[in-house]
Amino acid sequence: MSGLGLFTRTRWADRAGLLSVLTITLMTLAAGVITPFDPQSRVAAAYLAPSAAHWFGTDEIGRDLFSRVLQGAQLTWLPAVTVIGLALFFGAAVGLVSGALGGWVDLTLQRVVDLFLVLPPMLIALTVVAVLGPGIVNTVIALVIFWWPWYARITRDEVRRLKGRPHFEAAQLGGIDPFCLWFRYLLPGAVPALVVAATLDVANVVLAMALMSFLGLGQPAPAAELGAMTARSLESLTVYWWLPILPAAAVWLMCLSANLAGDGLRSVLRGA
Amino acid sequence: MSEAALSIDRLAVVLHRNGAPVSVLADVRLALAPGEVLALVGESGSGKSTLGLALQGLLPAEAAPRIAGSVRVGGMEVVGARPPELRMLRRKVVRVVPQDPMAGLNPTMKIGRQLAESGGSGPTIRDWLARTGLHDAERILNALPHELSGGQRQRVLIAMAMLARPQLLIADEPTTALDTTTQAHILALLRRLAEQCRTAILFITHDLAVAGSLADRIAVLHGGRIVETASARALLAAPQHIYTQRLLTALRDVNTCPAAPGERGAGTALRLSSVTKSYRLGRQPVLKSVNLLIRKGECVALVGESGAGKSTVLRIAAGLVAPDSGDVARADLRPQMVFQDPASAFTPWLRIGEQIGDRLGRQRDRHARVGQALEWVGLDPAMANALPGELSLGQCQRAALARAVVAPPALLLCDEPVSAMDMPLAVAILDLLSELRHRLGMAVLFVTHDLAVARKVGDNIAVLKDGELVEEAAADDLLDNPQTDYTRALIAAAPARVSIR
Amino acid sequence: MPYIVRRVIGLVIVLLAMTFIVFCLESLVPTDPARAMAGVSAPISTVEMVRQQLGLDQPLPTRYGRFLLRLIQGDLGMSVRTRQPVLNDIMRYLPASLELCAFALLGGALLALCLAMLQGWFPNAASLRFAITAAGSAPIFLTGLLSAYLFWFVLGWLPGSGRLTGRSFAGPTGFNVLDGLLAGRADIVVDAIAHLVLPGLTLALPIAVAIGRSLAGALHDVMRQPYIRTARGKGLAEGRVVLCHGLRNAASAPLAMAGLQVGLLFGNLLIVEQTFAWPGIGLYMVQAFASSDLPAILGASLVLGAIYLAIGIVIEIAQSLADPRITLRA
Repeated sequence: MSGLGLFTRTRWADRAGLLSVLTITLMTLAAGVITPFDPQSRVAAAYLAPSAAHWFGTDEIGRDLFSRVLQGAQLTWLPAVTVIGLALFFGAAVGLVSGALGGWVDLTLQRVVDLFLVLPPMLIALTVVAVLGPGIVNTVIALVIFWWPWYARITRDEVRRLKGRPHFEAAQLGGIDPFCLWFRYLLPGAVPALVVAATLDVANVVLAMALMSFLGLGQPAPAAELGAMTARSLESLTVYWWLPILPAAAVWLMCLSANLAGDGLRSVLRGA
Repeated sequence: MSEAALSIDRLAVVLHRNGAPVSVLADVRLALAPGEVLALVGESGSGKSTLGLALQGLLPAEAAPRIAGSVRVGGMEVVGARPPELRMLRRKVVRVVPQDPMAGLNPTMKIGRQLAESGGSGPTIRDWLARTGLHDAERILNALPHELSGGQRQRVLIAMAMLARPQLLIADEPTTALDTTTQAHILALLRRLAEQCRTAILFITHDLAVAGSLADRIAVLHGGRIVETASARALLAAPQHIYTQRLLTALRDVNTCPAAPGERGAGTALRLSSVTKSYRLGRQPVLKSVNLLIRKGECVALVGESGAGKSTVLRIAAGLVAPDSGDVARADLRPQMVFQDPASAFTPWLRIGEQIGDRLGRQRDRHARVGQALEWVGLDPAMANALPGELSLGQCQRAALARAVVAPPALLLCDEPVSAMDMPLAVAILDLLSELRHRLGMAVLFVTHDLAVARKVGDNIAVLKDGELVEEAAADDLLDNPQTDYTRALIAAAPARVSIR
Repeated sequence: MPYIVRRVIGLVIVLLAMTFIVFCLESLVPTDPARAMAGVSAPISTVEMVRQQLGLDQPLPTRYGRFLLRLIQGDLGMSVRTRQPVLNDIMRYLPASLELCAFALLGGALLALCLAMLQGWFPNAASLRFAITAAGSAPIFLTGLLSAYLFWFVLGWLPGSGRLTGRSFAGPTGFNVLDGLLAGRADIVVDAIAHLVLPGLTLALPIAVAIGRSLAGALHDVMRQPYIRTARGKGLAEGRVVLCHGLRNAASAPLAMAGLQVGLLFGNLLIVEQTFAWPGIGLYMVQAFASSDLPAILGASLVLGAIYLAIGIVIEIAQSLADPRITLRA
């Protein structure tokens, strides 16, 4: 399955999603370098409307909003991807072991996963962050703790399904060594479901982080966080519309890209 | 004046697959009189299912179908009819008995309700259930589909269809998923219905033998065209078209050309002694004290109905499952297995060559040996780079054999490897199997429900009934002089096939 | 053992786990609660006395035991901000949120059905799918803002905050629509519904998109099954085929998604109640976060968690009703 061949078979919306995801990732990685102005210092008069000089206008202190939004995107997108990455790693590992070994190992691990799954996700995450205190690291930890069980469950279900299939039995009978069996004959079968779930989850994590920052649980004031920027300028909606709307729109764009990319991956993998 | 139940004239159907138009049926002409049974024989891909759909006006809208020609059922023209007329047609005039009785019934709706939807009141429904051989009406009406057996589900579907007193009944391979004995009952039932109710039956099948045993006339469909139509007797005695002749040759081959017996080596390839197995505590055991002996180089065909325990015997022989009691002795540590559905026997994301070669581990000559195995089975060594999804059914089964023999086992286990294939392809695979046996001196345990295939392949035939081995003998002896009633019943139920010589 | 009994036992076990987590979280607070009560500059002896009074010097199991005992008696602690028992606060604000959530869930379900039907009728419309994805990706603070701006500020069609316009009315159940009906006051009912629309639909949108997509996918798969062809083959009208044969078999996955959405509802509730000044438990939580009112945060978390678990059981029951093959097992 050549990657390029895959690409040409997608619809315009899915291609847009994938390109967008790539662009956003690159932009946020390079945010420190490509921001036109310093996001933290005053560079012009306050409350300027969007113009050629300041694409997103300026905020209440006179900081360039575009630079702040870019930095805010970096503070949201990259941690979100990290959360998903870590949760995938732990979840897939647990799921693989659980599904492949079966027996009492499976039973025990599944009870643990069940416990995590049953607890309402946002509730506990919010509470943990409220207690441990704000900060990117705590937020990431809280979210990873409550996201990994989903991937464990998905991996385990797929692995168990594959174990019963004739092709796995044939491989077992063939005398292939266990390491090879697990990593070449089982795990790749779980990858499609995992990838789809992970891409769609990026949007959910972005929303969760924006939500927490809106509620004041993100990083403290001078940090450019998208949700907080919207929350602080709610009252100016009718006067300086760009202040609450543009950061929220940036969040929207990130989620939309992730969702489109996820949908595209899902339809390609389903058809493949 | 009795009008033809079905009259098809110059029917052409074009479907769109992946956007491209494909001509599925062309210039089809067919006619059926009331009460007549016509078998439509064709291999997979010939268009026979599409014909069934077209007769009902149910061609899938996504395929943007284009229909030309005329189809008259019970006096009504189907081509170009409007949806309300088509619905009336399906309600009263044309009914279908589908191929897979499990998938053909709504799994979450009670049988009684599904039957009532088909028209007819309570007493009529019970009457029809009785006529199809289902006498436990109360239990069945309140049951869900998964609580019934395959044969019972198929009878329910037949009753559902007959409730409408249709003029035309289309039976779309209704017995492929069933046992031989159940198949015989269903075929007899259809025959009775045609006679008693004057319902014309269009019986779609890929099995020429089944067609021969049931139908008045046979029409052969090949590449979307009807290549030959004749009375059953005439067609089987003297086929006119090349394709029909090929089908008949394959049929005769299975019945009359047994494989040459293998070199009997010294020693045992497999011995099962008093093997018992049950899957759930307290339930009926699946296998009861089974004794089976296969000598090196020998081929034993294991026949039985579904649920007899044949797959369990295979899995115990393979070592995938341990018996509850009894002893399993093998010459090999790892017997190899070939499955019924070759496509699902290969991991979809790994290349064929890798999967074959992984059996050899990291040896120097791995690549060469994989190529040699592929040649043995009649495949181009370049196929090693293909993915399983790119191979046809026949190629896949050959590749599965290649995987089995790349490190030749003493024992090869076969789980109905040709049951899903059309006859010509099945014959080719069975010949290949024979060749490999002789080349490599393998013993084979071949599981099948088809007595004719068992005869072709096996030196000995063993008959399994409800977990017990009721008879075992040399193939010809068993079929010519069956010793038990059960074996006799099996032979009698086989559709005229074993007796075609 | 009957299903309900097993599920209730499971529920109790999980609740215990939750209480334990909450208890541990309480202990993790960096500030010393005894010192906080006694005052920053109080001498050590006073702090120790306060610590003894509060029972904070007892070993862990005893403290947990007493914590559980208090919980069972309904004592969730005292809110630092309102100086009221947390339980009382929750009981005051919960009905408003429940009413809003019920409205949102109902609206979401209906909208989901419409979206799934639309996708079924126009399966290849890429723009439709794009529009639905775009709607579902929008952060809820954006949609809340925009809808308030458009329908309240600009058009003035609907009220933008609160539950009732100006008047004070308190019914027995706390659900204004219900109370209005019970009291026979149509003006109250209309007013209450008018106030429910904007926040309710804002909440309903992500729910509708998620469930709608799940339903559309499940229907797509189900309508390709052979038994659908059998149903059509009986000459049944298409509507009946979709409803009786299609939907029921497609219900399992969307119901699971609905359960998931209820879990995510809580986070969105906070935002919406803040945006529309809806006096419910979400607003209470936001204020609790803002003032680091730990007892309120933890107490409300427990109550909401229990409700979430109960809804999970309801969803399971609904799934087994839709598909009788699923036997209810713990």
